Amino acid sequence: MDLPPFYPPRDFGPLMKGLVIGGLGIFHVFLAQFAIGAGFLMTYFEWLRGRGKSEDAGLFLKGYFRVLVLVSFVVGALTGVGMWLTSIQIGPQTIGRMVETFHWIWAVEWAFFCVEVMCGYIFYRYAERLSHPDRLKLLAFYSISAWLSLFWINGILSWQLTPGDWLQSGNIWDGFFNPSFWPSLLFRTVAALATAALVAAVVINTMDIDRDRRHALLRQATRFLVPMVSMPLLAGWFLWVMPADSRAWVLGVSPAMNLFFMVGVGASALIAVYALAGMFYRRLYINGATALLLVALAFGASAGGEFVREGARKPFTIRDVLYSSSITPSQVAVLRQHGSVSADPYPLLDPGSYANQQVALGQRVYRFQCSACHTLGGINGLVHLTGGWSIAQQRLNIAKLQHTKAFMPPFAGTPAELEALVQMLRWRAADKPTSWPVSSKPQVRARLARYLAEAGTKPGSDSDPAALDAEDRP
Amino acid sequence: MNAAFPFGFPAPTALYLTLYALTFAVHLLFMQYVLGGSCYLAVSALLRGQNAPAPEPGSTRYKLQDWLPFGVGLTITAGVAPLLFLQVLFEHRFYTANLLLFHRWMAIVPVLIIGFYLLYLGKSSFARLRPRLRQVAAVIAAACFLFVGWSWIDNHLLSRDSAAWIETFASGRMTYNPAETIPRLLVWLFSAAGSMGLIVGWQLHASDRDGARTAAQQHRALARFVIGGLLLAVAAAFAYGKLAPFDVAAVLLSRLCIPFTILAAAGLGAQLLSWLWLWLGGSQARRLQLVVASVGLAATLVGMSVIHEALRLSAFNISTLYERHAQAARAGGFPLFVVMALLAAGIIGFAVRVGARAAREGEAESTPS
Repeated sequence: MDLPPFYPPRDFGPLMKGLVIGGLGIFHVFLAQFAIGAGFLMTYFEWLRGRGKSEDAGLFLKGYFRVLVLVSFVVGALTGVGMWLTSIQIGPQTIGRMVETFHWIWAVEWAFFCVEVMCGYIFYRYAERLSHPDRLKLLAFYSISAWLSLFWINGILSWQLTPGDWLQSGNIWDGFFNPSFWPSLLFRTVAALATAALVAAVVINTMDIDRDRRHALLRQATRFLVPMVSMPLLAGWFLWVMPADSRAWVLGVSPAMNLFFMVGVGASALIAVYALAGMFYRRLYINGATALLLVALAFGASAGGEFVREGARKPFTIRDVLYSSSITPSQVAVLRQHGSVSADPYPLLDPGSYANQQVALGQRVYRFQCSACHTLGGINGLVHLTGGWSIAQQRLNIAKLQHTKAFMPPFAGTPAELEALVQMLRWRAADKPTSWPVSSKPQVRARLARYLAEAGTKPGSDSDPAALDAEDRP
Repeated sequence: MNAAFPFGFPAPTALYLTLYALTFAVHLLFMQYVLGGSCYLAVSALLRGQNAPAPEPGSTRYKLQDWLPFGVGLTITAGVAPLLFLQVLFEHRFYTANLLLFHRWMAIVPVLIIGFYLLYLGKSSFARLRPRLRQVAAVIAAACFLFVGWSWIDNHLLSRDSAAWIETFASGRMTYNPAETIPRLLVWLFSAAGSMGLIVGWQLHASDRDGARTAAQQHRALARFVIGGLLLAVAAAFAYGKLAPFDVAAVLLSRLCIPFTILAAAGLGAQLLSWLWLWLGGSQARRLQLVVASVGLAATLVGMSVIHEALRLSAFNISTLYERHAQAARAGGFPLFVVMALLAAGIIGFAVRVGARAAREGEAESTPS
């Protein structure tokens, strides 16, 4: 029998699990992109230094590399490990599937990470004593290996949204070079170059040299902002290769996702306009405060982009392979028959605090099927989200969940579990009274069984409203 | 298991186990350097008191202070590979232990960041003039790395003990901490003297070769420290054997493990002899002494890595995971990894050569802060 593995269920209180991984992820991605772009920028400045085209390039490189080592080599590297550990806390099945499928790709990425760390640190430590050709070689190796880390990890991350032909062939390269691989890689590369240039603007403003010399450095650094002109095209390409339903969420069907998308677009546009029109074309000077503000905007753009990338996968964490509830499509039918928590060995942490066994069962069902994306009373809280529904609406909408909201996975449990979930939510909405009636009418169970049968076990879509039987709507 | 590690396993399982053990041994080298080095700095900071001057260039403390941040970077980088293979091998067990230890386990990330920055603070010119600050930074940094070590041991032991999972979850505890945790931690901590001493020993040797004159007393002090640490590690290993809830000796002497038990013991013997030789006045052939100690340490680390794995494998039947490992092996990409790993090794070799040349050509010490 194809049952999902059971893991100790954990929750982060009022914090939605997605926010925990998202928050760390945004931070890590921003630092990683900085490290990648910084490599190319430093290689460019070293080249300028060697050609005698920048009198302060050496001084700039020293200060810039110090920032890179103290920020990216420490926090960037550790948040990378943190991402792995947090992914295990949030969705062990998802990260397990990714590791199983792509562990050799991850191992390749690690090999280049080793090159990045070694070349970077040797340059940092001995730069003063190295010849120009050796400095240039070390920085070039650092840059290429940092970018290759992105290359490899990008294939895994984009596979989650668009597994492409891998779904049929199972071939690792079909999954790796999936439809969103190239637009995602190129977009991130441009974002990395822009981030590095903006951080450079901050560092240059801290240098103890006169304004004209700082301005000269700034003009050289801002060349790395020019590729931003390709961002609309790359973003459009990315949207075009996305699954149609995911694209629809981003472009307006989901207000939250659309809002984050617009934050990303708006922040990127502001940086691009300021950088290209002001700094590059008009050759304006940029002071430290403005540079910091632009870095903050770049962080906002990264945050918006990463939120959209994560959210657009719904109702899956791996498209067509694993639902966001960590249940595979084939397991839904099995769990409908056998129950989703009947084999769950982990007890409730507060078993005495529930009014009856049915409410306690509902809590276990919530924990197993809903808690990956929802809380009870905090962010994206179920009690609030379902609080305006009548009991009949709750039963119908949860039973036909993937049709109620197409970004939700199908309910994967028995009618008894569904009724227990409804009762638990109502009990909580009623402020958890000590006694609560048990709902055991056979007609209710029969109706829930019919709803579930009508809903089917496949994912829903907005264009598939037929599964919602109009006469059943309360 | 009736064959020596890793021959009794199907090919996919054997491949992943071997890669795990080898990459873990490399991680151990750097991890022990950081653990041993940070504890050395902390203890010496406490013993020297609040008004102690900053370490002199060429001293063990100076070398440690200067290189430990890079050591942490190497430890983390080298730790990624075994972490990856660990997930392939024991996904469900490892993930379950992670989830059971929850916030306490996740705390290792911010704690490592704190420890990392404190090491940078300790070597900064700002701290060089502030002994009290240097003392506090050294002690807290060492505590951070000990916390991480303790957490990893708890995680490892809990992942082995599936019978404890439900009780641990139901109790709401975020620690496991059986009787074997502390002796295990002490084995890693005391044996860290070997890795730390060897790396510092080579650094002192390189400085001497480049013209610095490290006092013989300095070498002998380092030798005493390593010998003391290794002997204490042996004592901790015996304590572990007594306190563990299973027959550790039977695992060590099993067909699976015995070649590596002998390897680890022989390596330990070689380390002890080479450091004893230095302590007793063999400073004339220091290079040879360090080569012998290096070979001994490599043998000990590989041996310890396999023993670590054999102790895990004694707790459950790994044959239930063979099919998963075979499935993972079918995913593809191994040849690419081999090619890319060789390419990466070549580039790293070039970078190290460039760095070594710069170090030789430059001053005896460099101290970026």
